[in-house]
Amino acid sequence: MNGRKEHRLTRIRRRTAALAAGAVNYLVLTAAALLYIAPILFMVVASFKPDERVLPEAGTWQAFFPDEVTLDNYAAVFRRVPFGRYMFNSLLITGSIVGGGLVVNSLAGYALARLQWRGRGAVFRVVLALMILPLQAIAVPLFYQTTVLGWRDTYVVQIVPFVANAFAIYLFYTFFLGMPKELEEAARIDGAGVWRTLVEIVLPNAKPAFAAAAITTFLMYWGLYLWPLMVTTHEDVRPLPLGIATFRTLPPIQWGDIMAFAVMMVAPVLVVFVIFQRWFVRGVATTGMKG
Amino acid sequence: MATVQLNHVEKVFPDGTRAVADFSLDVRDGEFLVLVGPSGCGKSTILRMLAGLEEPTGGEIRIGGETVNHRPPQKRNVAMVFQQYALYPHKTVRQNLAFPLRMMKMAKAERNKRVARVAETLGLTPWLDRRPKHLSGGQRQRVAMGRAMVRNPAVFLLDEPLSNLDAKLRVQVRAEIAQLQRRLRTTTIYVTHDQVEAMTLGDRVAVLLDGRLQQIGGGRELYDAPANVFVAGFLGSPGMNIFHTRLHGGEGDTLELEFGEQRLAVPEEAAARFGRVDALLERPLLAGLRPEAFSPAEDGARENGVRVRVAASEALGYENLVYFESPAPVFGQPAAGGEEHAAARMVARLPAAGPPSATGDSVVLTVDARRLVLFDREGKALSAKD
Repeated sequence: MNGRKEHRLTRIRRRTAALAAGAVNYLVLTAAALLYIAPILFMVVASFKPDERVLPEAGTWQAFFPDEVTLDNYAAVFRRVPFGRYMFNSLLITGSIVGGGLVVNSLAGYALARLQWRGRGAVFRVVLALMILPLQAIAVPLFYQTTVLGWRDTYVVQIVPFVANAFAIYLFYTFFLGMPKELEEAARIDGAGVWRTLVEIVLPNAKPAFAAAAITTFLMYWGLYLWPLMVTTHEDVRPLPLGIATFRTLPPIQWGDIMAFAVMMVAPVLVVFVIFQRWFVRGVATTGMKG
Repeated sequence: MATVQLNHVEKVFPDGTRAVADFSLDVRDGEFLVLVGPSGCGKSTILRMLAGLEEPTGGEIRIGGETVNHRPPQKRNVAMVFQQYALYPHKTVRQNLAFPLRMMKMAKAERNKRVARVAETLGLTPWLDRRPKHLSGGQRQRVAMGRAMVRNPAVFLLDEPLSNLDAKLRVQVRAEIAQLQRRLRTTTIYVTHDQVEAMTLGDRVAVLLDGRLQQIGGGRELYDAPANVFVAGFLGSPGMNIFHTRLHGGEGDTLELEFGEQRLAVPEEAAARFGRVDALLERPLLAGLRPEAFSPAEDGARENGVRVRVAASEALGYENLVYFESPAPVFGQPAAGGEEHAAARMVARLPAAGPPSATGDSVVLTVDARRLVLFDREGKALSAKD
């Protein structure tokens, strides 16, 4: 009798403990989420507030819950700097890097994973080595090379050096390695040559890898600052990160305008992520890559 | 349709592994040939060389009389069914079936007709617009078969096509494959490690071990007259009992075979199948007896009986498998590789009608000496021709 009662008590105690643990868990998670989202929320809200209220209200509730909303800041951005031009340049440059990269890097990854050729091992080691080399380490010689080629102040100089990407090659390489070889063998026996097999069988099944490669290279190069600063002088070919750098110091310094610029600059990142997220998560799962 | 020939084919992988050694085989036009052996015996490598997925490092492969050693898979007109089926996951059943035809650049109307016909034959019509992941294992297997059949290849290559099916389905599909092959009469080479599939499907069965052909012939022939102790132990479930022994001269035209301390009477003509009797006498030999060569002794009768102690028995309903402690030293079966105690046992296949034997029972079994097979000490079957 007593034993049973005790047993029930233990059970209740255990359940309470589990509930408490869950509550603490969620509390910590919510706090962390708020911590991450707060600056972004502040940025978005500030971009819609009259400029003179942004800084004075930064420490109040109005920083997150505005009582007045305006689009003036956005209009100001377009009026004060060639924002459309920056955006176009960024989209063109990053889009070309991503698009060209998907073609080049997937082919390279496939060749490393599946085809037999002389020097494959050496090339693979070079790719691995390149993965750990930061841009800063090669920026100066690269600058010299592109100058010799006469590429200063062009789109080309901002695109070509980054199309081939060791990280993306490695991502495709691991993905193709993990793909069942029988699929390609079946296609070969069914009458398809190497290219046909690649186009009809391999690529359609590599969507997760493409999404993962697209999203990571997009993020890598959308915010690139150092390189365009080194190789461009004209506004005509400069991308958004240089634009916002100029804008931030352009008198009069108006924080509402700067926030509007920033919101429009990160918007494409969100769009890309939302579009590819489904594939991206799957890609991470299948390539064993962690973001 | 085509003949397939392998002449002294050899495959050494870059890491030095010799997967196939001096392998020769003639497959007749329209024949169903089964390659069987334990895993790692090189049977799949042979199939892959026939498909063109591996190149032999020596010898010659001919399909339809033409040497194809260096010909890529897409130019060989062979079709293959993979163990994992290898269906294209992003294509529907219809697109999977049509793929080989599209690669042949066949006109669309003809293509559709062929796909419809194959789907009809295999009962796949209701699932033509599904993706492989929405099909059951048996249906996937059928799609894989269909994709192989659809372009009427010269040769079918099947790599353990049933190993992913459950036991019941396996029996059913096995029968379907046999029926299909008989109707199409396409030369078929079928790889399996399952000796039941080998015995039931093949016009001829080729047994492999360590990349070498051990024996080729009809199932019955291999079962009754194995070329060596490996084939004897591999085919049949349970395999043949093999033990060390000697033949002694007996009375009249009866010889005596050592069975441990006991003696089995062997008619001279039964021994004569394995060579001149006087050459067999008194030398160390290996003898093989199938489990069904034993039968329960009639009450009291001790004629050609051996007394053994039962170690374990399994009642299967239609028969009893009785494992007994072997009176004779048992030959270590290379394929079985089982535990130590298993090597010291023999097994008899007895009618289920008989009284069940319990562990520890002492029973008398009669031996049908006509079913005896003799091997030399190296395990090679003796023959009257030697």
